[in-house]
Amino acid sequence: MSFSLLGIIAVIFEVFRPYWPLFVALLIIEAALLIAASSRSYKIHVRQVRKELTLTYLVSLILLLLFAPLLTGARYHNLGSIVDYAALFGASFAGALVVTLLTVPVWKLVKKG
Amino acid sequence: MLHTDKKEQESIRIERRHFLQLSTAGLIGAGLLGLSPFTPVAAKPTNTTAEIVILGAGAAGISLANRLARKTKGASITIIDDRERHLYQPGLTLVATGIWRTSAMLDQNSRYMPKGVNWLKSVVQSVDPEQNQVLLAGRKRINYDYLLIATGLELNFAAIEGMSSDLIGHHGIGCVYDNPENAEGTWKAIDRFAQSGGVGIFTRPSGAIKCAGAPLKVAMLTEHLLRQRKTRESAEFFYTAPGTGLFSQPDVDSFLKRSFPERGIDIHWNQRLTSIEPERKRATFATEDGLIQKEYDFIHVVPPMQAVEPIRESNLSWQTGPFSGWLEVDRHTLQHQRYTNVFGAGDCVGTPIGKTAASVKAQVPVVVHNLLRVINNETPDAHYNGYTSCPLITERGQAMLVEFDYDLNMVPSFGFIDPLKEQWVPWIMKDKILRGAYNAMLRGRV
Repeated sequence: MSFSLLGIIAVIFEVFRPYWPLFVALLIIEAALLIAASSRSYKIHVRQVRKELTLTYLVSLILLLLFAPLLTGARYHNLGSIVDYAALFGASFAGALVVTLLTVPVWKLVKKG
Repeated sequence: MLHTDKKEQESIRIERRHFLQLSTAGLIGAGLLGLSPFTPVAAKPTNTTAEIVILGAGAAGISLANRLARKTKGASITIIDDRERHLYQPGLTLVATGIWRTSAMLDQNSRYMPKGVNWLKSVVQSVDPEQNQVLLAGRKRINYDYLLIATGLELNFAAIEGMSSDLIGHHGIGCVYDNPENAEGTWKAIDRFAQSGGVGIFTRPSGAIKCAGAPLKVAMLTEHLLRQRKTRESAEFFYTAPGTGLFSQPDVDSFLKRSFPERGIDIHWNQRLTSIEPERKRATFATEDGLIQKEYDFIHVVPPMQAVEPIRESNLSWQTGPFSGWLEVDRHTLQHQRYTNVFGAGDCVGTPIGKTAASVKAQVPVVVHNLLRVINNETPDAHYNGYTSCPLITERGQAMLVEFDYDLNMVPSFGFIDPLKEQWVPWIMKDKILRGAYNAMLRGRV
């Protein structure tokens, strides 16, 4: 069974369709945080919160590596192949990156205090 | 000279960079328009004033309607089905084994019905292919130029003496196939069995059934549930097969024949459920040695299945042979063998294998393509190879992604996923992704 690029996009869209309201809410919150973080008279650059972001990434990564199977209703012993571990690591790295990016404005606000 | 060479080199670099940027932008743009190397170039719609009638608004019917609506211009497309509710049937197994809530598999047909298609909310009483007419409830007649049959199938509980759908969820009786409410009832029965233990019998009828992996999945998921709850030792598991096989694909059959005994699921060959006594929790099976009775605490009943009556009793069905009663189509072109303006897709077709959502996904493009060929007075040339797929869940958290064709050869879509290995990724696909793929199929996008 082969898939076209449009078909893959269509499937991804349908998979995430039930979660669009959540994504929109998250985007709104993120936009508000970004505006708040940028509106200060003294701007915090990303490199000034590098340590916090690195820590956030590492913690997220470890948590995802430990708990991603559980989040899908599975257990660690269900991972039975290189494909499974590649999926686990891939999803964990990507997920940790997303979490980290989302916390950028939060850390900027915290830093400025 | 050196200065000129440097200027020339810089100019070449700029031009090359510009070319690469343009090419990348072009590729991305083309990809977004669906014109990447991965996608076929969309053909122009077929101009036609044909009256096309689709029977059934299930997976196949709605997919057909959406594809035809985009691929024709001027056609009158009518879809006939009185059901407003759309069921994601692959979710029934997950509801019946407590993995999904019922709401996760419910939807509305109206969300997927294409604009410009006439939706007749009625019931088909009969089809007259000689007159190119469909008779609806209330004696309304619908004429057609081309008929697409996607009526699905029906469960024949009456073939098991003493059995009816009302019993599901009571007296230790489960059935994954009937409807979401009875799938929920089945889960309650399984849940009680997992607490109390006892004798669990998992049946399978002879003849074609939809999602042939479902009876096996229910058995394996129930067995796993008892292990998770540490009540496995208090239960006996029996699987009754009408023949001497568990699965049509030989490699998977071998796997299951090894796995079931390892899991303590006792297989009884050549046994077919013939009657049930709910009050006594006793079931009767026809065997090679006559009738035998077994008492149970839980029984998963799978009734024989058949095409719906308007098809089964009509001239459109196979009149003899192994597919008697099912829609008589060429197994490859899906065109009716005797009425060339009739095509079929989905559970109603009489083909060797393929009563799954995955089969529908493979069949619908073939039917649409071949129908348009016929409309243009050309010979159908698209072929369905029998593709079917079963994400065979062996326990919560892992599954095998089994895909095969008419020749029972494995035809994996993803070469890096071993179809004979129990893995986490196929479980995620079944639990999280395939519903999205199904919806995209309904919209005619895959």
